[in-house]
Amino acid sequence: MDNAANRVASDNASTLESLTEFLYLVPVGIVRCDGDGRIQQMNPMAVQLLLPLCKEPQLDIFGWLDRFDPNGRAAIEAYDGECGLVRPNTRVAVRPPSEDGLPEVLSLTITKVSATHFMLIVSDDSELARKDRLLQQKHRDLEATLRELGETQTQLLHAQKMEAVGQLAAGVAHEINTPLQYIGDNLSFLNKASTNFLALVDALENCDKATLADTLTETLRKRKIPFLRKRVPRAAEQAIEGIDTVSAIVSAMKEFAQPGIADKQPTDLNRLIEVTSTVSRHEWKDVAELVLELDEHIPEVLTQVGEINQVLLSLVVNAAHAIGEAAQERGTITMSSRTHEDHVEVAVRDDGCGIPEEIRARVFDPFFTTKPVGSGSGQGLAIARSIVVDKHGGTLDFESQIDVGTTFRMRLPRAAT
Amino acid sequence: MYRGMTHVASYETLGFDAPHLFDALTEMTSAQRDTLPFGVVGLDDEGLVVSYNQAEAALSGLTPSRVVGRRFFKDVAPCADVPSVSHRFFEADEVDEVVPFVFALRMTPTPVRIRLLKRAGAQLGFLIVERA
Ligand SMILES: Nc1ncnc2c1ncn2[C@@H]1O[C@H](COP(=O)(O)OP(=O)(O)OP(=O)(O)O)[C@@H](O)[C@H]1O
Ligand SMILES: [Mg+2]
Repeated sequence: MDNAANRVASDNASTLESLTEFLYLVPVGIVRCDGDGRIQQMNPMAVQLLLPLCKEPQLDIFGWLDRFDPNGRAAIEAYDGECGLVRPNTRVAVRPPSEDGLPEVLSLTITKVSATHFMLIVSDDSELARKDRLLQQKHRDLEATLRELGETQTQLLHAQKMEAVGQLAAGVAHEINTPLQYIGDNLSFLNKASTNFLALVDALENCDKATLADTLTETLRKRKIPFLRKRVPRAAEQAIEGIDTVSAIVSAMKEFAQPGIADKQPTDLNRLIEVTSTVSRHEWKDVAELVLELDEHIPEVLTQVGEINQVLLSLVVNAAHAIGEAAQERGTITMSSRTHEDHVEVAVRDDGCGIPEEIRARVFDPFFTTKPVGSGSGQGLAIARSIVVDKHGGTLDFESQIDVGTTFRMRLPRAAT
Repeated sequence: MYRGMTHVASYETLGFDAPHLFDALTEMTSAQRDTLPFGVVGLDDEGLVVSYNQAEAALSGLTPSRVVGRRFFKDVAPCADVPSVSHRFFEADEVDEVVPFVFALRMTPTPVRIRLLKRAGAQLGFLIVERA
């Protein structure tokens, strides 16, 4: 009798022990509490999950849960299921988001175990929350990037214009340098000539009437007056021409950049073609002749002048590059304008290398370039297209044949936009 | 002999908060630690339980023989493997700090105070446990 009772007791004890051990080891927190949230029982995992939530250990489940998110209390208090029914997965944020590996989101499964008692199964959902957050962050980043991209495009427009102007300025400095040199040469020649002419005048003024003829003959020879007489008018003309050239380039440059004029204005496209061909001379003169075929009667259209200049410049520079790539020594770039019924057209034609079939679809893509690093950024046509299509309601397209050449056509609507 | 006697006498008055608790515990034999009214767990620098006194055994329901040689924060009291206890205990060379805690002893939440005691260079560190 005694023995049997003992055995039952010891069986019970070992069952209890293995049950306790089981509850110790399950990787979820188990808490039993009464309707007011007073904790009756909990396993170590529950302590481990809940303890980091506040400084002072609590014997009241709400003391742990309420610190941050009312969701847990609400779910427990609102739970009026029958005994044994489970309300799964109430997510409770318990700490501010962090990456320290401590619980920040717990998942509660609530069960009513008696009329007055609840059992909560508590598990750590933080990993999920962190992944969620990462995903949301990525999403926000992506949206921000998209927005930035839009802004950047506008900035790029401006930046590329400034870059183009900068590059042009270097070219223009070269272009101005040559006329300046012969202006200088001619002026110093004229300076010397005037010294000699004045010497002649002095000699004649100071000499004896008797020796006048001799002095004249001698000074004319000595001061090379006949030679100077022949050359002086040409030198003066050349200096004036040089100055005209320089001031044409400078004013074209000023017209090209159009600083400070942001609004659209009635525009003579022929003038833009002339201005662009002038300021870009340095870019094409080594590889090509530039021919203008302008429609004298082209009507004015509304444009943002600085931007359309930027488009024409991109097309001319591309044409020059294409000719540079081609086999023949020199080529021709033709810039033409034409009037159509409802639009005007500016074409830039080159007899360069042509655009290979397989890249035709991509030449307008931002950053698409076949040029070596540092030489092309691949923004030229992308920005040109955006200016023509988005800002002016026009079209920009091209025809091309390998080793024959390429024609880019910009069409702008005649009706005011 | 006489000195030994006075030591034992003074141990009996040794409290949880005694300022020189670390020195006293280091000098004591495990039999002497068994006479203390609060739990004492001696841990080596890898966190293995080296000594486990009677008061602690009574509190946890675990016999010293089941506990000694096992990893305290992994196998014996995993619930204490939280920043305020285990991290605090291991992250510094010297610790003397009291933290509030709840042991889930036999599923019954038991609020306790744990005093973390550790000295640089010493063989053992101690967790001193007292019901709150
Ligand atoms: N007239 C043309 N003939 C042949 N290929 C051309 C011509 N125009 C453009 N391309 C091709 O299209 C590509 C893209 O031109 P785009 O003007 O957008 O960029 P890029 O000239 O390479 O660089 P960036 O203009 O930014 O300096 C060029 O790299 C070139 O391969
Ligand atoms: Mg380009």
